[in-house]
Amino acid sequence: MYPFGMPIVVYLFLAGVAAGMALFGSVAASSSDPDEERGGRTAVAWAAACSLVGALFLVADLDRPGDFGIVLLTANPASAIAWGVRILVVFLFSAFAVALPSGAWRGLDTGSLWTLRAAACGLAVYPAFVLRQADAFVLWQGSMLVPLIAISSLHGGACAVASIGRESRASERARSAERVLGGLQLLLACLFIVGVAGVVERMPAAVFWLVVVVVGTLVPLCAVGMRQRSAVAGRCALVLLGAFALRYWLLAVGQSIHSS
Amino acid sequence: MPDLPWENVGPAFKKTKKRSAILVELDRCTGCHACSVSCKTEHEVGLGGFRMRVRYFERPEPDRTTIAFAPMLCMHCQHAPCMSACPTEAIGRLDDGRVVINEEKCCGNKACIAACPYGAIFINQDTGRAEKCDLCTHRTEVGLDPACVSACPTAALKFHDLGDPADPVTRTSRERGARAWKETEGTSPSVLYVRHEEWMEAKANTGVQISQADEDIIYEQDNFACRRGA
Repeated sequence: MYPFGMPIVVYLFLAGVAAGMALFGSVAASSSDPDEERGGRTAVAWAAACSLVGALFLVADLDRPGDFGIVLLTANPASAIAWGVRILVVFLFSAFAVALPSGAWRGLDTGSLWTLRAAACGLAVYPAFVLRQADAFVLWQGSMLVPLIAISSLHGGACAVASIGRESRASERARSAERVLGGLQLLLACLFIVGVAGVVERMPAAVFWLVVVVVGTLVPLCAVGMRQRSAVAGRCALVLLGAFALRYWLLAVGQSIHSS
Repeated sequence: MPDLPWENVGPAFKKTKKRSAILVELDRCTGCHACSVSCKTEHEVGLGGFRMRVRYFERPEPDRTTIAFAPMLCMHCQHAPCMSACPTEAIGRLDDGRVVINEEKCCGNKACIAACPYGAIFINQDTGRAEKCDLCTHRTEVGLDPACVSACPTAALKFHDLGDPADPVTRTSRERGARAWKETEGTSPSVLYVRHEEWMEAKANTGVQISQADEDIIYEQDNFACRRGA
């Protein structure tokens, strides 16, 4: 894959899941139920950890990792990556602020929560704009790309939240969201792959249908009513596999489309 | 010993308020690679990197095969996607319209490489920074042509001011119907091609970047393998 390699795939996956987990976790964290609040903060803590690890992969992908500070010190308003780095920084700070025990700074919680939600929305969406800005790659110019990546991020996050900790209202809410998000993701994925059928060869298209659509979206959607721990964990694993496979497919196939 | 040309000239030769451009007449190009070799030498470009390449195109027909050659370099676009994509503003534009990279600001994120539809940018393996053609700024500042233009034995490459309608090369460009490579990208390049046919573009790529890593490093590695075996 060139110029964006495997570290970028890992970053896109972790950032997407972190965004989804933070959104659902922040809703639970604002609950008056102590158990639900604790569960929400746990989800946000996981989101913070995921995004931090993702950021390390992002820096590792640079050919000059030591110069990463230049990205923070200078800002090209036309660059999606410049915006994305700032969104990631705001996300990290607000996620840690929400995840830590409320204690002394109770008054900052509301601001932190809303900042986190806004940053999470940005984190879920901006990677698609980075790909769209690489307008040398025709596969990334489709109109379905932005909603597909955003919904995939939220879906992955919802599944992860549903599988964390004990059964609670937060996990029930996340499970309800899975139905909606899974259905949306199925629709968007189908529309996307049909839309790019003219430029993608049969084998990569077949892999997309099998791994992303069937295994990563349709099978978990059919199993969304099952409440056993093993079923929930299995469903979460398939959704996350599908989310990773989507991003890997987009970068691998997208960067390989050229004539001989 | 005669003075070298750049020792006798100074800032008076610096061109401003113009659009530096290159006209490529494909019917004159023989694919000799003098341009890419002179460029590699002039800028001491490292292994695997090419600021300028010559693309080969073959079109088999019933009674013959047509072969064409096209020197490919940075197009110095008026609407440069690399400039928009770079998060550190390492890519800028000089007064004469040419697009250049400020290597001190480059962190190697490769957004410019992904944004360029012409595959003109690569990562220098020694420095880890993005690099591309700058129309030999150090030569044009003292009144010389870029190295590729000077080296071309058939005058297939011509350096001129696209913004000056009185420039003889600009007139030739207009008379011969020179056009941009991949016009649909909407980048408005300053490098225009004459006798540039659509089947060449289709052969080159289908609207996406040429991967230098795929194309040129394999060629160099093959050469090294032959040398080691000799």
